[in-house]
Amino acid sequence: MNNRFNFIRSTGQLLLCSALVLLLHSCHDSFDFELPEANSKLDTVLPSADFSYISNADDFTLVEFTNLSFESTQYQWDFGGGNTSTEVDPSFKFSGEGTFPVTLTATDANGASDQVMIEVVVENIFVAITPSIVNGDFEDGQNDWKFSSFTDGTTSPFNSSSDGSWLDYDGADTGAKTGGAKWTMSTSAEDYVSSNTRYAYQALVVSPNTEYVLEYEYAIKNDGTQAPGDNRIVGGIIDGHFEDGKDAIVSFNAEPLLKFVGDMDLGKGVFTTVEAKFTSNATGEVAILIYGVTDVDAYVDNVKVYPAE
Amino acid sequence: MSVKLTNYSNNSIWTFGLMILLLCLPFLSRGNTHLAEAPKPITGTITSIESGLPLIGATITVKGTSAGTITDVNGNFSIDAEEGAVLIITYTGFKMQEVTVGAETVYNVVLQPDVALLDDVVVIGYGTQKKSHLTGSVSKVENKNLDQIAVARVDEALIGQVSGVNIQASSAEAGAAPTITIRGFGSVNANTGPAVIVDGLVVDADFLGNLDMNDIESFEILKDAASAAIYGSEGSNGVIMITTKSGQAGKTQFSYETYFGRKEAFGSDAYKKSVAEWAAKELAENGELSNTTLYAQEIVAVTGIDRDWQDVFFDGGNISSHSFSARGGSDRTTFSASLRTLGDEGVVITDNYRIYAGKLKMDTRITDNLKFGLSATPSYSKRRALPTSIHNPIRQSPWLPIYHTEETLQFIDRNAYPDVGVGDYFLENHLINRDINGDGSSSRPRTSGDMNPYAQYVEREHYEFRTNLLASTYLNYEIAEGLTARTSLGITLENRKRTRWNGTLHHAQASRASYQLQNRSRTRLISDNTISYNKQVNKHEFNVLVGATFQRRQTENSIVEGTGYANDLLKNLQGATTISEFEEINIEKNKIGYFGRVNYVFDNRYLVNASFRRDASSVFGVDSKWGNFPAVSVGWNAHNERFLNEGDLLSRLKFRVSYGLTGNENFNVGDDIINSYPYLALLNTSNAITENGITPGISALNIANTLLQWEASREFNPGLDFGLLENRITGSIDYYVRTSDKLLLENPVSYVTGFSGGIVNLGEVRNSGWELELRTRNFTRNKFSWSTTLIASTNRNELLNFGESDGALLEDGFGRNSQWINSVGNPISSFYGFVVDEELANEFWDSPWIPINGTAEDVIVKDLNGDGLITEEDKTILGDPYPELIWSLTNEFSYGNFDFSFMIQGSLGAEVKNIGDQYFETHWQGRTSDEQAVVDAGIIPHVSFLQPKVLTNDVVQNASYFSLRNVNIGYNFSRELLSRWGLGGLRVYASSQNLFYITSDEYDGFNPEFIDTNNSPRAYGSQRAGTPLFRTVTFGLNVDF
Amino acid sequence: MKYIQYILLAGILSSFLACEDEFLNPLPDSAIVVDAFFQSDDDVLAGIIGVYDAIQGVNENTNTSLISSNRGIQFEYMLSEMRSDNTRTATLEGTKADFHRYRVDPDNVQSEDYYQSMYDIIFRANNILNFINVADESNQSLYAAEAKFLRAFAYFKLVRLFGDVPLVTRVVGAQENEDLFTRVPAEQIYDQIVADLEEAVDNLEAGSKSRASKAAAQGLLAKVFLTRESPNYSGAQQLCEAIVNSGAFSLQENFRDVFYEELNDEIIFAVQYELGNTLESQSFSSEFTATFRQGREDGHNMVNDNLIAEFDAIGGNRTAESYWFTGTWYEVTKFLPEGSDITTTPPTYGPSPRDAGNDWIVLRYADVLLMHAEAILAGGTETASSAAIDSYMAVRERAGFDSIADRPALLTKDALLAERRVELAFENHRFYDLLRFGVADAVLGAHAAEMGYSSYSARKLLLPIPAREINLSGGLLNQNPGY
Repeated sequence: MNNRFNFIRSTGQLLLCSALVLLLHSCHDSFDFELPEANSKLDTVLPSADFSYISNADDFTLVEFTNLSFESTQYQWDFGGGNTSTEVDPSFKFSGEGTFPVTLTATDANGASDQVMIEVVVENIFVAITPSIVNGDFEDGQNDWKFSSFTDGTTSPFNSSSDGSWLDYDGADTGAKTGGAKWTMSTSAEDYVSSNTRYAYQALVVSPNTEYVLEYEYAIKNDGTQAPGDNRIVGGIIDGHFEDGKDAIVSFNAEPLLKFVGDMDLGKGVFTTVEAKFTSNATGEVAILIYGVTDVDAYVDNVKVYPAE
Repeated sequence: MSVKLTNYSNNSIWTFGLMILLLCLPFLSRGNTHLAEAPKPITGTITSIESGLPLIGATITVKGTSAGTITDVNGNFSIDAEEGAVLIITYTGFKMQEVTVGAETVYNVVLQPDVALLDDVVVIGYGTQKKSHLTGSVSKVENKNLDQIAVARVDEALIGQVSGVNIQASSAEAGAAPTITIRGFGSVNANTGPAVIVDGLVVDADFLGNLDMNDIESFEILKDAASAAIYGSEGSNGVIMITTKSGQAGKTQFSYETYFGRKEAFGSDAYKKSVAEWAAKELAENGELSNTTLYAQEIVAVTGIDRDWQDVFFDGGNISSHSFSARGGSDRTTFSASLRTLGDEGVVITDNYRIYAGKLKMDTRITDNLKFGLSATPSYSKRRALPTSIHNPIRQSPWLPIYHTEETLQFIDRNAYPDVGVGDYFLENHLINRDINGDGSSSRPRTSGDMNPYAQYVEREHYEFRTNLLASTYLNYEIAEGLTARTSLGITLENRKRTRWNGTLHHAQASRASYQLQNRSRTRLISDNTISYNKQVNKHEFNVLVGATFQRRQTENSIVEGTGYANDLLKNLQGATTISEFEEINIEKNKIGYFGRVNYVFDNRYLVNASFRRDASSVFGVDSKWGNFPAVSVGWNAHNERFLNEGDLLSRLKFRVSYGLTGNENFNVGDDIINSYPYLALLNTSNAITENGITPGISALNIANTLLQWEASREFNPGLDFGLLENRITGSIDYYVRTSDKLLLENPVSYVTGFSGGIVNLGEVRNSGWELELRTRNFTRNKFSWSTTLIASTNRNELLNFGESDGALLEDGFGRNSQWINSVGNPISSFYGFVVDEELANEFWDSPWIPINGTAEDVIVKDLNGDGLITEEDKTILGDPYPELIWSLTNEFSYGNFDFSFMIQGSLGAEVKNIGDQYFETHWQGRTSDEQAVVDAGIIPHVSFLQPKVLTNDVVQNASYFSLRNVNIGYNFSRELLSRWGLGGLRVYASSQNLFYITSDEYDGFNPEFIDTNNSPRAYGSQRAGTPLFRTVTFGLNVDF
Repeated sequence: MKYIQYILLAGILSSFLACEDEFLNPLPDSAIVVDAFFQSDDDVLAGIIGVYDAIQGVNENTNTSLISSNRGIQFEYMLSEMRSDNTRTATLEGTKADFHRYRVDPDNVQSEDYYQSMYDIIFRANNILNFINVADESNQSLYAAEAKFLRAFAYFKLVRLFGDVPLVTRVVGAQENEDLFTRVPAEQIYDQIVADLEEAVDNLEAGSKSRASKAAAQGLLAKVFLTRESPNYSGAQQLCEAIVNSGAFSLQENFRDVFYEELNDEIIFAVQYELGNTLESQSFSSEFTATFRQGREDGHNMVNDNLIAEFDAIGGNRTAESYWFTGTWYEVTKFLPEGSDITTTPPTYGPSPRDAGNDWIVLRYADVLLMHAEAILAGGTETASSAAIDSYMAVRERAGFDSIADRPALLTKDALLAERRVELAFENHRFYDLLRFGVADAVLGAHAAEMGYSSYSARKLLLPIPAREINLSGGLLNQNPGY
């Protein structure tokens, strides 16, 4: 009797115990980990504005900006003159070379913001070609200075001479004469022009429409007579490359890119340095032309062409 | 009630405990009728409720008469008494019981132990102690039916048996070790497993795999520091003490125990795959099917294969065990010998485990006061391990056949694969250049490329062979009354050979074939020497112990790898043409310990226990080798006070408080040499190739820490043991706070130093929690009895100090960047990342349906600081891998010769980082490349709002579960039958593990308890779905003769 | 009988106590204790070799551990080549697929590993510099120069990929946060690099190709000169000419031989590997395969179409040797594992493709020639210098172009960049070239737009400082913008 009763009660207890277990697990979500909500944290890292810029390769006035701001979502650019942008990485075309203050304001969604002003320097950073002059110091013969042909004339460019400048090509004083080019009355041009007239010619490729300097040294003896219009060394730049010297001279006389007449006759071995500016043509294909018009011996050495500063 | 529970706190545990208490509150059954009758022969058996074994020599007398008898060796008796007479059964250590003779003539009486009288003895460090004298927190588990739980290792059988001990089936592979933590993770980098001590000898924890449960008498778990402090540096994570059975003097007892069982895996529905399902989804979404889908359908049409790979890989398996033992001896010498073999096929294809273990234990009394004993426990095991994590093969395309058939050959691009024939492995890559609809696109659903998932497993053979021997001898000399000296020498030998054969067919490229041979030989020599003195002067009991212990551990590791295999004929180095790797590392760790303990008891009421240990370890710096580990604990047996011991209600009440220090010397920074010689600045060879030849080079190996010292834990543990209603209700409640500081941890340092980290003593972690053990004998009647055991424990883990590394983030070992944080105020290795706001609509995925059941890898996350963009600041703690509550509820019934018991066991409040979805839903395939489009669509304010799921709480899943861990129903044949068959005992039983196993709804994987191997304590609790849990059903037989 | 006990106990006790000191201080036999080392010239040399081991890195195929992995330069193609317009990954799996889409996160594993690797090189170099005086008098300046060359090598990589980075020229302790976490301006780091390399140029000798040599230092310094904010063109030109005039190097007749004949005449400095040796081999050879995958991943360095177009235009005979079409992907063939045969179907990749032995070419003669032209070009858009054009043509002629017919009157910057792209494709030059030529943003911006890599912005030209380092720095270290 009693026993059965107990037995039922006991089983009851067992069931309840198990029920309890299930109950406990039924609310196991109570053991779930509580995750924070949006905007529940304080923002400790605030925006900081910064940027860098670089000129466009083709158009240096078009400046491309790179946004280097931290912790921000919106951007306000001020390029001056009322020009603004809200792009992240805008580009802006400035009027020309110069220095322009540009301001960037970086803001985050909480409204925190930071501002930076940077002086943007806009300049043309084009680097002109430095042509290399072959045998510019006339140390190894005449070949590099020849026209490939010369109608009714000679292709030999000058008289070789050992009475060149005391300076070597790099401008260092050698303490002795170096090789050079020489002109005499018989090889002179213009008033003395003949089939024997000699022109030093070398074709160059330079950057188009760019300012260059033609540099060379010359010396003229000062003993004896003067050629009509004074003894002189003419150095210049021809507009274009020419196979035939004849055409070159025509072009040169008609429209040279540079024609410099040097008449300092300070005597043999006393060289004068010429630095004559010229602007290259649209193709960049130009040529050096040097000749003498002189009764007495005249000398040329260390011919250089380089971009004007 | 449920409200109370919803805001979890220690109270809810109380509520929980109380509920059980109330519900299961038993009540005494009385009342019996009187009818006068003539004497008649009464027979029956007297057994003990504890052991269920017959009580030999119990006295039976008829009340009010002189008639009496005693039970025989089988506990049987016969006596004449008339109906209505009252039989009085008495037996020392048991409560006297009265039985009124009724109509029946057979009375099987089960006696209750009288706790007041009987005081069972508990094994403690370097000795034993009366349970009533315990002042620390020690749980004892006797091996009643544990040996009937069909598991390959003894530790697996302990699940749910002891409060405060968390045993996780962290790998469900056959023969693989579970993870045991006692009272939480007390360490960050040091090892967190308890010390294991077999018959007084320290062994490596993995030795638990070599023991046969049938040999085990009992487990004692020293949980609090005061109890473990006598082991000093071994004890910081608790101690599991195992006592093995020894022989009894008298007739030799033979017994044979066996069981056969079947294991079946629980898969995961979340990871089921099928082309049909995927096509349906896609059709519903897009109204048309992509080429890739049509592609798969075409193949399915031919092969008829559209399968879930789980069905192939989770093939279930058998488990069987045979154990034979003989125990007995003379009055001078006793012995115990046993042999055992166990085979476990595991539930996944290819995994397999077999162990052969023997045990011999012999004790002999040379003279009256000189005892000598030796024991040897040899074992050999062979385990075939899974070659790769299980996620790998079963994430593959459902349409992929294992082998080619005549039909499937038509799909092959013969230019690329001229020689593939029928019966060869089918690789997805065989389909290259196959353009099904002539649109020039040969894009195919692709998940496995040139690995055949099946071949990936069966063509690789990864074995582990272990040969272990634990041998020990002792001399025990009783110098004088109560003064005993003992010296023992123990040797643990382990030879572990691992072979990893990757066959020529496991991958499309035969050149991938390789073989690795790993040999590890470990020896541990221990000499324990103690002198103890016991004295009882009327009410004063003393127990004094002093001792010294010496330990030498040596490990020799070597690895050789061979490549260049032409075929599978020689699956070892013989077949190799190139030796591609070789390594040899030998290490040595030594230790010296001196210890002493005083134990004083006054009148069984006031208990004091103090111990001290001083240890030196070779691991630490020259000037910091020595550590001191004192402990003190006191207890008060209140029930022995005069003012309390009246009345039945309160039969036991003991208050205990203990405080102690323990240490830890073991840590793992992934390099055995650094683990052993961290205080030395070391160089290792780092050669380079110059002038086409190898040139010897060296480079610094570590940041030496000359001051490295013990990691110290101090634990405070108040506790209460109680017994109510003549111990029908017994139990204990413990609270503990364990603070470990000077943690041995690998502190990450800036790469700029040239190192990634250095081992330091840094940081402080606290574990605290409640433990409840409640045992009730709900109902006891001579035929029927029912008892309930409830075990529950809570743990809270908190990092108190982490120095420089506070807030340090760690990434998982899978290169998927999911993160952990170690920050003060939170549990160590908390999961860390973004909080998911919403899923990303699949119009933005690159390929939502490809290759198979894909989902977007990206999700939209919450902007926690509202600044309009997602940064590190918007990451937060997403959970932690430590359960807040683990519990078990056991009920045991017996009715006559039948008994039935079951245990429900569960865990609550842990999370697990399961990146299984990453693989099974092939997330990376779905990651959107065009974040801007989502912004432009006005769905998110900024691209950073799109984050990979693996960085969010999407992969952090609730790991709570509860399961019917064990069910056991058995029948013990009656003495009559047995004696007729000449047997001492015969039991048949059926048992089952995990008959059901219920996980949280949000958990997708195969096993919420699984912990992947490339976890470190600082980045703990991650898995790739894990190896599957399983249900085991076994039938067993125990015979004694 | 009675005393056995004591004797035994005493015996055991004494046996241990006797040698307690030894017992508690065992010495390792599998590693060397520092105090016992660095006694001789050979020891220092071993330390130097140890630095090369750091550059060589650990093969990911055979040591997959992420814990202390140090892949050295084996991962560099991800950080450079795949972040250029040259290549991408086959699938989008994992963090390795983030590079070509410019969506590398601060906690990207590979980027972090590379950062770690470079500082490991720097540490080993700094460390051995402390022991130089142990070496023979005659070798001291040589060893110091070698260590500094290697240090400069690492910093040069770091400063281009990560921008301002911490600069340490000595061994620093884990607590010296100032040095560990202060980002030093790139220009300052370049000053250090130049100083180290100039010392290397002065003290290193000619000879080795697999270790630092004078020419290697000259070549590297030339590249540094060209890379700096204010380039030193004439300096670079002279260095390149010094290498040319040394006469020690020459272009291989056959382009293929550059990659398949180790340490050939064209190689100036290469990091060497050994086939089949898990410790000394590399993984990238196998990772460059996709269709018949050899590596761990689904395929890396898959060739982009616009590079193929470039090859079609100016590749010459290099095209056939640089990549092949598998039917599915265009795959790199400059580093096919030893024993590969891609002419068979299916192709074979030799005995152990995952432990490949192909060297990694850091500097070769063709690179120097093209740098020579670059130096003369001097940042201009074009040059007529015959010297420049000669160097340029030398490389092209080897590629099968005609020395007269194909010789341009003008060498333009674009032509030079394109030439470098095809000649040095897949050798991790493209990304750095784009930076050096100042067109990285323009070119990669267009490339990203074409490929739909919407994450791209000019900010992505710098990789993020590893989150781990920032995390450890306690606020000292700040991140690059855009991350």
